[in-house]
Amino acid sequence: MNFTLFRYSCRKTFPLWLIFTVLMSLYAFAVVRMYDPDAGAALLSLTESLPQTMTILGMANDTNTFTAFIVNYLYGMLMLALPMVFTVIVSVQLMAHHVSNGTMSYLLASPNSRKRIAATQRNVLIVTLLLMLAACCGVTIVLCEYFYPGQLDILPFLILTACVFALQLAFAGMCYFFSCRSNGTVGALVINAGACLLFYTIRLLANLGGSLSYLRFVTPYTLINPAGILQSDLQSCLLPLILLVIAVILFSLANRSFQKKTMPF
Amino acid sequence: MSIIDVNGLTCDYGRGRGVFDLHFQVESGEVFGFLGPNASGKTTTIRHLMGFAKPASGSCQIEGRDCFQSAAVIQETLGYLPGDICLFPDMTGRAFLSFMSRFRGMKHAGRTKELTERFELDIRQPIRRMSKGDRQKLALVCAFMHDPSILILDEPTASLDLLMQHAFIDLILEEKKKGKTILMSSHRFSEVEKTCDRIAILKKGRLKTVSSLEELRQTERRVYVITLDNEEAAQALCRENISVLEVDGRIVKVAVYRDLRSLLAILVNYPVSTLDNVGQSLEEIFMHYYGGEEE
Repeated sequence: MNFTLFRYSCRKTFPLWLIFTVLMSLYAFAVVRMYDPDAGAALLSLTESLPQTMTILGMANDTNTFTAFIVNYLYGMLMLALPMVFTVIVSVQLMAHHVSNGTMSYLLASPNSRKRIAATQRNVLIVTLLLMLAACCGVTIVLCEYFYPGQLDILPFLILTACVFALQLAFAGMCYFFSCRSNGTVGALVINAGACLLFYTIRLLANLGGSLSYLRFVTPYTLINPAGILQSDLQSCLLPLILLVIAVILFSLANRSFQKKTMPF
Repeated sequence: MSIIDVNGLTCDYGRGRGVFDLHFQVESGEVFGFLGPNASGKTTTIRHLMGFAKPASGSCQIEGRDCFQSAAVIQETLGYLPGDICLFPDMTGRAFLSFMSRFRGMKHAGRTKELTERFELDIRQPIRRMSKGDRQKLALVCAFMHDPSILILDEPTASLDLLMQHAFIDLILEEKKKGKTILMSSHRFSEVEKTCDRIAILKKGRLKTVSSLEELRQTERRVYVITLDNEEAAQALCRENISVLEVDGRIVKVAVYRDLRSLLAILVNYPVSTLDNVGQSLEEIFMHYYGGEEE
């Protein structure tokens, strides 16, 4: 890894990181403040009256406990979607953008190998994602402890956050792979956003159940089962490891692809 | 051993674009000029030497190493100036040079100060606000700052004013004295004439010639404009064994390939009123290669 490039890329990613982290923290704040046993009952009745809508949004799990409530509304939708949007943009900014505007020629005209440059940019993506989820997780825990001390099961919550990180890594691997292969910023953005949106839509459709429920086997979201993780179910805790394997494979493919690539400049 | 060795390099982009079966070597301490009209394959060749592209066939080597496989090792002692100057627009000149020197793993700023002073470059301004010339100067400083022993420069003076072109020529001559190996593509004949030991001329992706300036001069063709007393004499002169380019009434334009004596021997028998030499510069030799008919 080249630390000079790492610092530069981190600095460049920071404004976007800050916006997304603040947005997610605000959402976490809203979710924590929303909790109120009576309101919980109201939301439960909402789930009962609109079961399909809440299922599609991934918010129909058992919300009897405080932890389940937080996890349900936090990791139901926005905390999955926002880091994905961040990944789509940053992965393109880190690789395809440099190739597209020609600044990659300066990075390659140095004693740093393609492998090292790709590894550095990959690390920027992983570290910023990690810090984003860690910050949001930290903020959520602090908020929970402040407003409802002792009610959050911290360990299962941390494990679940780690699993969500594994999921985001798998998406990051995919976006990074397309970014490494692309020569244009717009093309890479379209492919990445399209692929992420596809998986997200498949998840919504699979949540509908019925004849479309088989779709859950083609989306990585299925590998995360928040309810199972909260109950410390071993299988639910181990399944996200598959996501890590997928991430490792995709990042390796991205690196390989970049090393063999003919540059357009 | 040659420093740069291009052996049968081929890269076909289709529709006759690319480079085809290029063979040339650049020796240590040599300044090698790379000339050719637009889309003749100069930048394509340089991209292969830089390891940005993998040859479809043939090979490119620098100091005995494959340019694609060992790009990172080669870059330790190589300075590069891209044809398209695409610097980091969000940085100032100073930040860019500092970034590049640290990115290259340099312990100090190298020749940065000396070079910015030489090119009278204000590195405090943001790159996005720099003029084209200033960006070119910044790219030049970046190519030379780590004092590389091999330099690959793609149209280094494209955006420089006359004064800075001279400063650049002086720099190249100094580097040449230090024994640096330089390959540069160019459109400016004056700088090639002043700096290069050997010149390769490319056309449509194929090498037309690789020769020293001396050899080029020997093939130099001079054009004379002969004004005769009457048109009949002009017509008679055209029938002689000389290379006539153009006849216009009493005026005959003749090309001479370093054999002025035989032309003079013929002219003695004609009523010549004036004999003028139309300046034949190196530029015209290049034009001959650039625009020459297909073989």
